[in-house]
Amino acid sequence: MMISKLVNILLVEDDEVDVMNVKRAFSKNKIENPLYVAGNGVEALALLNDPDVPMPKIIILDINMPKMNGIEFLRLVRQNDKFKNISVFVMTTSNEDSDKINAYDLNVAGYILKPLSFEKFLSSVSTLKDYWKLCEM
Amino acid sequence: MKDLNIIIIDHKTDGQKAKDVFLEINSHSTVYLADNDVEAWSLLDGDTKLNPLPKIIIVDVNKKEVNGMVLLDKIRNHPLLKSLLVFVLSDSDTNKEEALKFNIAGYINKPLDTESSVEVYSKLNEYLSIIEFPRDNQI
Repeated sequence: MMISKLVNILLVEDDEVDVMNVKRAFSKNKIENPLYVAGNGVEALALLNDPDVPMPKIIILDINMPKMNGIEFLRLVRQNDKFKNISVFVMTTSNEDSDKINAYDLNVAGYILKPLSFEKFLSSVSTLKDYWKLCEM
Repeated sequence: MKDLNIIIIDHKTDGQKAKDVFLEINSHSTVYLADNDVEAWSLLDGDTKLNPLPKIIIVDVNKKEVNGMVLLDKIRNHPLLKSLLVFVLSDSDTNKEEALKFNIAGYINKPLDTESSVEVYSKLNEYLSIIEFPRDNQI
């Protein structure tokens, strides 16, 4: 079944280099979905609540961010009827079991460690793209 | 290949087919089968409780005999099982909207032939190979 409309993706990430890497990886993998970016959980909540911003179907979420970290943000998202069923994919440098446990307790669809090299990151994004196609996201 | 621990809940032949294909793709994995919600619950929290508990569940929520939606509800309301990663594989969209409300990891069209099965489970395996889980005794 072909997807007739590209779903919106919200990237919640404070590191500008990582934001650029996501954009580069999306471009190289020909992921053409509209991508919205928030620098922390507070900004992300504002975007979600903005009536002029289309609701994303996918959130890519960093964990360690200032003002409101990823887990705090996700906890609020899961408590809100409007957003609670958005698919969330964590992408982080944190290899802490506590963060993984907290993320899966809040029903993320996956927890991905940010690879150190851009080539490996490209490959992870390619796998994500194939998975999204599989789920017709 | 990553060593994955999975339960597939589906009616007899479909479940066995899925297990066979998955193990061809990733022989390092352990795949348990359950015909329905009762058998699955026994593996997850009952008399035949698995140790370690698989962190990945694949279920068809649209087969009447499977009672997949009942199982999903029980899993998401159990304090120790609610965080399990659940994938729905089904050849019907009947319960899709309801299933998505349980924050499943993905709703995937069930492949109808062997070639498609290999493709679907290969992609699923690749995805599972890039995601992290907490260590076994941490949940």
